[in-house]
Parts: sequence; structure tokens; C-alpha cells
Amino acid sequence: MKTIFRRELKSYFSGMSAYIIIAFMLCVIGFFSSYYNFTQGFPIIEISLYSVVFIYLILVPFLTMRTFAQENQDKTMTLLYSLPIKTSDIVLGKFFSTITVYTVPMLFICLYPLILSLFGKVNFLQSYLFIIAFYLLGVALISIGIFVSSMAQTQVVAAVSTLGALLFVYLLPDISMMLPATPVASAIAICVIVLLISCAVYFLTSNLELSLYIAAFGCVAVWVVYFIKKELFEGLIQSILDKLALFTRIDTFLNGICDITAYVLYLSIIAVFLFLTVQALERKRYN
Amino acid sequence: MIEVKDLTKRYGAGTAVRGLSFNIERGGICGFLGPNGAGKSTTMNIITGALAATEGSVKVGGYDIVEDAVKAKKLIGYLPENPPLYNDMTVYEYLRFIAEIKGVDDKDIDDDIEYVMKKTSVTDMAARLCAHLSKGYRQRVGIAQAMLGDPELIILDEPTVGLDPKQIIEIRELIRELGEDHTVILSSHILSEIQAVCDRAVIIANGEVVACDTLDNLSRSGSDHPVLHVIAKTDPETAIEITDAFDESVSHFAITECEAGTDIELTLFPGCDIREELYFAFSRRDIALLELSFKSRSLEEIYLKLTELVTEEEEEEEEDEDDIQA
Repeated sequence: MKTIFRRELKSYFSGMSAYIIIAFMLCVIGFFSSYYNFTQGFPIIEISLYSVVFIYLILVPFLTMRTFAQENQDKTMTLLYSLPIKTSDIVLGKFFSTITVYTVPMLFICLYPLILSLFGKVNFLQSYLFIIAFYLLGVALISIGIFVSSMAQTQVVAAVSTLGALLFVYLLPDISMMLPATPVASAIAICVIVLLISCAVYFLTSNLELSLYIAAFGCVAVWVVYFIKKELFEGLIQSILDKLALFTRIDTFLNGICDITAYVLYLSIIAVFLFLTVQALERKRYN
Repeated sequence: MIEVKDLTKRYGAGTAVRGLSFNIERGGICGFLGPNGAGKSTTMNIITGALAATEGSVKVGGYDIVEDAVKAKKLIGYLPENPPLYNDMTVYEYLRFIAEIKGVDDKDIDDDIEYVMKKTSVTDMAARLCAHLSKGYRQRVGIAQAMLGDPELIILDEPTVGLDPKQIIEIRELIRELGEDHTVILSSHILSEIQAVCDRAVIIANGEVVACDTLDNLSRSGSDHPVLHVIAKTDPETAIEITDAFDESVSHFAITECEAGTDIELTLFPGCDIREELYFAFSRRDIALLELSFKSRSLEEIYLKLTELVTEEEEEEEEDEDDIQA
């Protein structure tokens, strides 16, 4: 894994990619910070970071598009599969190298609270806990991007698909608001989710029986519970989507509340998508 | 060294490889031969773990390629169809990367890389980016990469494609050298190459193994009937008289008059070797023998015959099916 890590890191820095990403991130954050912190005088870096959350939509696709899609394009995956290295090591090596490139600008961001403390009163605990949440949000989105990249044939497809996926996550709060809050709506929405999960299972295991089982069992279970206790479904889909809306989970940190479950959510997303990436790569060997 | 059992690979509706079974012993050079689309590359990819089989098993050095993947792959050096180079690395960096993944000791890495670069003559390109290499160099770096870590099994998919004649000779020489203390598997379309370099061959057609034997045995067989070629310094009638005595061993013969005397082609029954008796029979009559040898069928003849057989069988099967349906 270290070998892959070093190779990928070198690759990022030998071309323009890493430099563009670092520069872009620092510029945009600096731009907003110069308004909110230095012009308006708020000694909280959280405001600037929060307004800048949308840059992940551009940054992450650019960062992760080459992770696996380039190997697919250059046909070097065949070689990697034949080498004595575990697939999980390949995924982790690439993941950590991408994270490292992303961490460089974040380290600079960590200096901001210290600089701001020269001009005003800074609540260090609050600032740094927010920075950690902001950072983990980025890492979670990167893990989604890596998963998408592992399934794409070319870098362009990877970039566009990642953008689409992240846009969907970004709009989850709006989608949640647009859906009706009635129990029936929630029940139907959960059935849809069950069907999507069974499709994903079929895609990963090619086991039609298993996926049909999951779909049938899941849907039946949903409607059984619905008829037993309707109230359970009141606003259920809204609360589910709101909890999964990665981009808005950092809101509470802005108000000085450290929401541990947000950290847990981000770490879980990272674990799940890295696992799915390994599965997707293993599945590719069957084709 | 390699045990392949009932290997089957299906892509959706089509089958690339079915029920493939063969064993390749340690040492020597084995050629993989077959028409385009026969399943050679697919089989090689499965043996090295780059592709997963639908059914069947592959064992390399006793380790299953799926269950003990890492242990099995440590024994393998592989050159796939298109040499897989990382365009943003230099040749030296690339070889170092591969060597590290293969687990070559840090203290041996530089020596190993120098050695493989020397053997494939890419030393002067060590600092050049892989993106800027010509096809010939890319091919040779690919072979170099397969040799890193001194693996017991080296699998080369069309290693001489894209090389100029001089380089081809050098690589063939290298492969022969490797064959001395490694097991080498070589796939090629060029029959003369297989004949020049390999001592064994596996012929694959339509996803099935059609032959798996040493080249000597293959060329002597074909139809199991050895063909003896004799040129005797005498007239045809005397020649027929003498060979008549060997009726039980000869299934049929062809006699033609030639400049030196008589050219006789005797097709013998399987397992017969009448060369000594024939020699004495002619010498008792004071007739000189200018040629007395087994005629070996060229690999091309055997290959075409065997692969034709498979297509014939397939056509028969299809006809049978059509008949049944009609």
C-alpha cells in the first residue's frame, strides 16, 4: 500500500493537479475570509468555510477523477490485478494519497484561527471542531468520488458522474422539503430506497435471487409496519434525508454545538464507500 | 507448476473458454498457440489473476490463484497484451514501483533493476518518461517488468510484437536463457517463433485445448503414423522389392524416381521404427542409402489440422442441431 501511496502522490505533484487544487481551495477560502473575517470583522473562520462548502462540488470531481478511471483508460489495472497486492491495499493507497493532497490546504486553514486571534477573541475549540467537521465532510465526499471513479471507463465520465452524485447529496435538504410529509409518501419513498438497495446488491453480486429477496422482503416489511403503526412514518423520509444530507450536518457546529453524530456519519460514509470501491474492483475482474 | 482444471469463462451469452484443463511442469518454455479469439489471452489473464473465471480452478506453484492470491502472484511475472506502463513515470521509477510491490528487498532492488534493464537493453532509457517511449521500448520495458523479482513463472503475451528483427532475435535469446531456470509461457501467432524458442506447446482453439505436448511429440504425431523418408541409390523396382519385406509395418508407401535414385516415403503403423532393419536390408544388397529419417510435420501443418478439426466438429454439431430443429 505504501508503494501505491507514494506513486500516486508523486503523480499528483509531478503534474499540475495537486497545485491547481491547493491553489484553488486556498484562493476561494481566502477570498471569502477576506470579506467575512477581515472586512466585516468576524473572528470566526467557520463563516467563511461554511459559505464555501459548494467548492467541494468542483474540487472533489477534479481530485478523484483520475484515481481509477486513468488506470482503466491506460489498461494498467490488468497489471495491478496480477501483482501480489491486495485490492484493499490498492484502494487504501489511492485513498490516502488523495486525502494527503486535500489535507495540504486544510493545514493552512488551521492557521486562520491563530491569525484571527491576533485581531479578536477566537473560540479555539469551536473553530477547530468545525474545521474537523468541514475536513471530514471533504473526506467523505472524496470517498464517494473514488467509488464513482472505480466504475468509470474514462476520467471525463468519472468527473461528470461524481459531480452528479455530489449535486444530489448537496440538494438532499431541498428534495426532503419538496417531498410530502404524509405517512404514505414516506412509506413509498422507503420502498423506493429498498428497491435501489436491492439493485445495488444485484449489481455487486450478480445474484438475482438475493436481490429479489431483499426487494420483496423489504417492501413487505415496510407496508406491514405501516399498517401496524402509521404514525411511525410521519415525516420519516424527511428526517432520514436530513440526517444523510452531508453538506448540512455541519450547521450545528456553526452554532457552537458539537454534533458527534455528524463525525460518526462522515466516518461511516468513508468506510462504506471504500468498501464498495473494493467490491466494484473485484467485480471488474469478472469482466 | 501450473494446474488448470475445467476452466470456463463466460461473458454474458458467449463463452470464451470452456472446460479447459492442462498441466504445465516446472522449467522449460511452453508456447500458447491458437487462432485469434481462441481464448489464449483470456486463459493467461485468468492464470495470473487479472481476470476471474466463471468456473474451474487454477493453481500456480501449488497455490490457488483465488484462495492464496498473494502467494500465487508472487511467483508470477506477467507481460499482458498491451504493455501496461504508467505514462507519468520514468522507466526507472516504473521498474522500481513494480519491484517494490513484488516485495523485492530494498538492498537488492537497484541491482535487480539494473540487471533487467541490461537484459532487455533499455538501460539508456532509464530516465525517460514512459509516455515518450517508442513501441519497441515499451515492449521491452514490459518484459523487464515481468522479470523483476526473479519470479519462477514468467508469462509473456506476444512479447516480440512491435520489435525490429534484431530486437526480436535478442528477445528470443533472452527467453531461451530465462527458460533455463524459470518456467516460461509464451503466446504468439508466429508459429516459427514458437518452433524456434519453445520445447512444449499448448494449442487452444475455440476455447478448448486441442493439444498439449512437447514439440517433438507433436511433430512426430499428427496422425500417430510416423513417416519414414528414404532415398536409396537404386531403381524403383529393386526398392519396392526390398521394402515389400516390411509389409506388416508399412501401412502405405509412395515411390518416386529422383536424380540420386529412388525417393521412398513409408507411412508406418503407430509405434513402428524399422530404420535399422531397412538399413541392413539395403546394405546386404550393397545399395547405398542417401537419406533415412523420420519426416517431421511442421508445426504449421499440425496446428492447421488440429484447429480445422475443431471447426469441423463445431460445424457438425451445428448441423446436427439444425437437423434436430428442422
